[in-house]
Amino acid sequence: METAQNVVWDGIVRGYAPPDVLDIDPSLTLQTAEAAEVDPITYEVIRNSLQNINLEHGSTIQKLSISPITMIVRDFQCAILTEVGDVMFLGPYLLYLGNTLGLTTKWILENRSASPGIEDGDVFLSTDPYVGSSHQQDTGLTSPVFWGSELFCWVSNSVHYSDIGGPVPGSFCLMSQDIWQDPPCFPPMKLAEGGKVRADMEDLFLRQSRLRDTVGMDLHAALAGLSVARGRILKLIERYGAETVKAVMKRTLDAGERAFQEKLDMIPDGRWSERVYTEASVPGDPGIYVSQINITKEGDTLYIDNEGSSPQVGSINNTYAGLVGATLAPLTIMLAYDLGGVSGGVSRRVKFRPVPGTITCCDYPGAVSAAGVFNMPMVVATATGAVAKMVACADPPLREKAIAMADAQAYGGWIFSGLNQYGQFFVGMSAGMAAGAIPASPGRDGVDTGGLFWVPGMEAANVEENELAWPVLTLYRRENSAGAAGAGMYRSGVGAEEAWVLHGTDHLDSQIYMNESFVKNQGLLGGNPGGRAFHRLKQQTDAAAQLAAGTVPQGLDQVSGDEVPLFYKGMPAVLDPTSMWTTNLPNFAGYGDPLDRDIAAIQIDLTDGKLSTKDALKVYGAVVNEAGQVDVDRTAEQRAMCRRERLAAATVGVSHA
Amino acid sequence: MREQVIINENLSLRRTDAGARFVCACGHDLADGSTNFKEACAVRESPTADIGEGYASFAVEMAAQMCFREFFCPDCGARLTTEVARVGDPYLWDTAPRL
Ligand SMILES: [Zn+2]
Repeated sequence: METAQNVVWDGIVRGYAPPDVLDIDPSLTLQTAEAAEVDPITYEVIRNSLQNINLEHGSTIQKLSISPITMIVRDFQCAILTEVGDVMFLGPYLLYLGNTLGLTTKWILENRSASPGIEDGDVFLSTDPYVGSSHQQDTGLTSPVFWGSELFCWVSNSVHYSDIGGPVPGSFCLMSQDIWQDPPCFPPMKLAEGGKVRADMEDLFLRQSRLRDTVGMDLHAALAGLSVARGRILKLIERYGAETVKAVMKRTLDAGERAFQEKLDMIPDGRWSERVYTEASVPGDPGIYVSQINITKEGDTLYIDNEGSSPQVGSINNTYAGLVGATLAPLTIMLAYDLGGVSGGVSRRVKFRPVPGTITCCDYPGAVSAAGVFNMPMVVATATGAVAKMVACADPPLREKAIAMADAQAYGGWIFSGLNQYGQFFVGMSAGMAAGAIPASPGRDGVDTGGLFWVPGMEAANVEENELAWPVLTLYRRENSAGAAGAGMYRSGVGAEEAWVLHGTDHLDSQIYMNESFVKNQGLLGGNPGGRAFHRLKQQTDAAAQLAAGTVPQGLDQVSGDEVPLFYKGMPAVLDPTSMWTTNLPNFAGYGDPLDRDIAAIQIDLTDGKLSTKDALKVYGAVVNEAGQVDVDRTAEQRAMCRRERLAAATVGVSHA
Repeated sequence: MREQVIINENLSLRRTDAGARFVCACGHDLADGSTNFKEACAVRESPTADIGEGYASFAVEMAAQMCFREFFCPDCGARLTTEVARVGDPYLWDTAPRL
């Protein structure tokens, strides 16, 4: 990978950027031979088998894990990698974790092949974001698959573990000023040797956690996933031969690269950028910071840089691994949607030129544990904006694959801890907002609560599943309206709001809640930005009394009590039996001028009750008559007037460059 | 060789006798293709809270540092692009395709 000169991207003082040719100890023999010929039917059988093996790896983790975030929401990733750690198949899970597995595996090949050695039956565990994870909680396991004495390939996964230690429950350390205030950071170490888990290493990892049992179960689910994938690959090799299977792997990667190349041919050369603002490097900090991603396309290659990003600060950083993963996620969605998760060929044509020491590519010892809910969605959003503007400039029909930005707070994250209804300590990550919203594209609206597009397999937990796992009662969960937020010629899908009270406990602490001071989204090429993500809390409410009387409150404004001002990153908020709180995941970004929106589309939203008459006029310049129908002639006049008003209120020729 | 790049329904980059030019669908010749077309737009800068319902927050001091910029064709008033930015920050030069 190409990076700035004269800096050491070693995974120790700086993130790890692997060289094109890895420095591997000669004691390790790699299986590289491939069959010269593979007939097309055998090729397809093996290719699909490999893909299904990876999917089975994922479903094994999902079935055996016990944390809702993994079991239900699928906030993890698994991959098959070549012998040199190129990601071959990714699962339909959290996309930005895909390349982190490649980085970790390559680092192991360079730094562990001499000592302690890489052998059959090993499993390496790493939580080190400077090596390859997006934050410490996304702990990676990677395991070599040997055929005879040769290293044939790798199987890997990355799972979000509920608590891996550090100063706060859940391990998202918002107050951290450096990595030593974060949860521990383990560079790759041998969790298993010769097919057996090492008790000392397992204890070293689990001993840090407040939730030893939960994390231990999830860890063994991840180990089982590796074991299933490894066993299936060995069976495939037994049947078809190592050289044939390897030939299919290499040719599939080459085909992926060619398919990506064909997309690049449809895009003019040029440069595209996106800038997303964030706030609060630690709780109480009134600062505003910039995440910026720039893409330069020159012929058959994309060059990615993050120039313009703020210097690293507080706890709002991600490492090189995060930058790479967050950028490849929207590239995969918009330009490799037809590759079934074969991403390795794509990354061959994407070169990173990162500016180190920034919030989007920090140096050691920058704090990164909070990246999972703050930086990662933010950098994905930033990269999405840049990629979308580039793809919008592509020849048809590719330009229609551009997709506007999901929110920088796309998780709608609410993380909380305390004693559950069974009297046990727990840490909960609400991802009810996995319902998501698909943003707008050139040529089509997004999808209402259509999920989070960079976690294709993500599912929102059912209310009942949350209520079983946590001491809460959901009062309602409902879609937002399609008003100004995410409006455009094509509008974003709408997000959703959920409201809760406690049930079965009298105290929880909200560790993380996302109440944005200002909107962090950006509209695409004339569209409105998505809305502001908010989290509201009222204390001393009469919600319990209303429930006892048979009424389920349908809004925070429908209960009495005092609203507590919550800042974007506050100190933990106490929830008690009088509390009621809501999270709102906003609509995401729209595309194009709202005044160009098709009247029929406006009429559908009006008829469906998704758009008010007031917003139809204010946002879209659409005049609605008493029968609830858009008046075509009056709308044309109104829109002409809106355009004149725009120019009357605007300034021309004021340079901000 | 491309004769034009469609950027959105209103904005395109076109090859002309005067070189690559950003052009509006209304026919207005906006800017040289090697520049940031936003500089040639009519710009309305407003508080983010004014975008619509739900954008306002009680963190008014933080929100006051930010603004919403709309870039219009100075001839027909079409909204070509938008950005949320810190007040005083330069316009982001974000779209620079080459013919
Ligand atoms: Zn115009």
